[in-house]
Amino acid sequence: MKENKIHKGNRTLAGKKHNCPLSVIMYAIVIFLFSITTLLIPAPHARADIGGAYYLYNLSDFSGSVPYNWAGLSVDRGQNEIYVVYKNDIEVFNEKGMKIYSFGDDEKISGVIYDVAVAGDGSIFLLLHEEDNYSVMRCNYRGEAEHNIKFRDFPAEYNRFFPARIFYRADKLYLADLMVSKKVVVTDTDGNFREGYDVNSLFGLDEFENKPGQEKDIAGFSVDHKGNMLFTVPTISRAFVLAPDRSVRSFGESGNIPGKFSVVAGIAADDAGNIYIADTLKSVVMIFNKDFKFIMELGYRGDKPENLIAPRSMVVNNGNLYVSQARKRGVSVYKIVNN
Amino acid sequence: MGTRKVYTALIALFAMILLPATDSRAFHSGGVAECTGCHHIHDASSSSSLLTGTDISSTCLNCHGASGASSYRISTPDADMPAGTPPGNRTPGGDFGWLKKTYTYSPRTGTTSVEAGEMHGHNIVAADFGYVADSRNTTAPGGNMDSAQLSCNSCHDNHGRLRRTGTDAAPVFGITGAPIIGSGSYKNSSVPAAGQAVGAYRLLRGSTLQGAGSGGKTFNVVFNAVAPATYNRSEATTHTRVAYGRGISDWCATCHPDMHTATSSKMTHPVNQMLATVVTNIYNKYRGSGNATGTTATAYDSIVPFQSDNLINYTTLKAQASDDGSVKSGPVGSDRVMCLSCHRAHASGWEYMTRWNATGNEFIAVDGVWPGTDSPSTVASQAKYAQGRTVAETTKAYNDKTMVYASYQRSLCNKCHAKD
Repeated sequence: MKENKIHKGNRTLAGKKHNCPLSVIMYAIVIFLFSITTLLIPAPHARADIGGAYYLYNLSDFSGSVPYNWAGLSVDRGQNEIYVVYKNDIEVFNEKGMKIYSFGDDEKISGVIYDVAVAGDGSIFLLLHEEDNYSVMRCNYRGEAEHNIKFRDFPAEYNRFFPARIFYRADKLYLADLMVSKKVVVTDTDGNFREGYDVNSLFGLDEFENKPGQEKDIAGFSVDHKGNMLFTVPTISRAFVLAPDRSVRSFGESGNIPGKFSVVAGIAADDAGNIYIADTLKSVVMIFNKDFKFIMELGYRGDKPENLIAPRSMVVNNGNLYVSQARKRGVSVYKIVNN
Repeated sequence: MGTRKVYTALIALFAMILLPATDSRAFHSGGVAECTGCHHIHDASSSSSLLTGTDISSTCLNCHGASGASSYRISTPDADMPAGTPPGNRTPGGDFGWLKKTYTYSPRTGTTSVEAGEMHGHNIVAADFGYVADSRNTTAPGGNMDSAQLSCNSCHDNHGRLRRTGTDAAPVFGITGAPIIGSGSYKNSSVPAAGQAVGAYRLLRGSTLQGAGSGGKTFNVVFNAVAPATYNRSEATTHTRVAYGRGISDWCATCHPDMHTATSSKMTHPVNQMLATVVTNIYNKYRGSGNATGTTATAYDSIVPFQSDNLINYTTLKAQASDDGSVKSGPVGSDRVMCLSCHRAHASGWEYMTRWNATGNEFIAVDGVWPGTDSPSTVASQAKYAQGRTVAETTKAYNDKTMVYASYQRSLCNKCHAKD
């Protein structure tokens, strides 16, 4: 187990005291300038409740922004902590974006950590890949391995199942196979099969199976607070919302203008039902309301802190949007502003 | 028309309108892809071509470099490759992720050896994904192409203009002639009907009329090959056979000409040369070091593939391609050695992008297993055999092939030369 690497404590600006009135004025100017630099990103197509978004910071440790490349993201909603999956480590960040903990080198954890989900009681579920096998390790809140989940009662049609994502919602684990069988299995936290969803069939993607170059890989997956499952399928420029009752809604079309899809990737939803979709090619995150009406987009390719380079995974929590990206630009955090 | 028919027609019409639209095409569909998949028409920040990636290869890797093994994935993201974990893709070309796998170990002689990742393949430049120019070869080995210009686009025509018309038995290649209806890369690719074309294998360049890609090289040779329907797969139980036809080595010679001319001082091994009786017999009998009990019917080894004669007959090539091990036959005398007999096109787990460990030490397998630092075998875990790799990494470098060779297996050069 790695030690907690971050010392929590009060921090002052550059560690200096500011007693004189002039310093106070200068400090105020600095704060003002800082506010200017974090201006609201224009929201030319603002709609509904979301009025804008602005860049806050990158997930960081005491040496600065952590230079992840396309890191995986998850969230502990109870503690408002962000979990980053990267190179077989889980690194935990607090709501201020500072790294507070890491784990993953427990000898009982065998294989490559592919994804992580955190339950309401603090239990942590690690999705592990080892060669052509997968397993889910249940860990305590410190990341100490407890036991492998024994999955039971999977129907025969889930024999080829090989999940790449794991989500926790309302005492259920959602395991999503986005590449091989394109199925989602819902179990309880003891691994007992509860529901299964054949995404290929539900979305009408069956016809592309086993046609080389035509497989419709699913790039983005998440589960909202109502148990709706969200997907993106980049090769058809489409996002899907699969309700627990198996009803399917979808939206999106190919294009470059705001609200259209180029190469869509991660997808997430906030508690108001707004849907966030990362577009790797356009280097933006698009925001749609619950009725799929386009609200705004943010990011854009560039070198400024608020820009994005090839965004991929996302989570939304407590009004913050966390976006992982390429070129070692780590995970950018934006504040979502409501009207 | 009766009322029922009217209602039926209306329902059908509404269904067509309301049902989720699922595109029946692949993204590239054997030819040019959807424009907005690579170009950002009105907001490009790239310096040229309205590409939104930092560079050409970064644009490609937005899709081809995503997480998880898939038919079109050729680069495993950093996040999925912690130390000791190999890149995940087993496509015929290999996974560019090997370029990021640097190994440090104690060799059998000398001091600590550092095997730089960049030695493992073609160093495409893709800034967004951490791929940088080859620091050792400033130009293509055996050629003069600037390594700093190497991108996916150097070999692949991203717009896929080269197309195959005619019949499978008598193909005709050109950059015009008929619309491309789909990929021509696969065993189950369509046979182009009159007025139709299919794309060239893997959108590879093959006509001077396509112009030059990054690095300024134009190709005037078609790369004739056919892949099975499923190819990014484990070979633990059955091999994956790509059928290679005419032009492979000459195609590579576009950038590596001195590697191929018999008069060149850099020429080290003949290519595009018939295996003839002697080598054919060796290949077909060779099963491992000291084991010459093989038969022609089952001699094929996907780690040491060969070019089928000088074939351009796609009916025959399609029959040879397989993803279930069903086509096991070894070569005949007219089949040929090619660059890809020993090298992978993208990258491999070994130096000089060879298909097997050709430079490490005398054995590629020891004690009956693939070597690795974590091997339970006290022999296979020795540094000089493991060469800094875990068993998983060594195994993946052989496409997860079960160790089918001799318990102490020497270089697979011997598949054709049998000096062991």
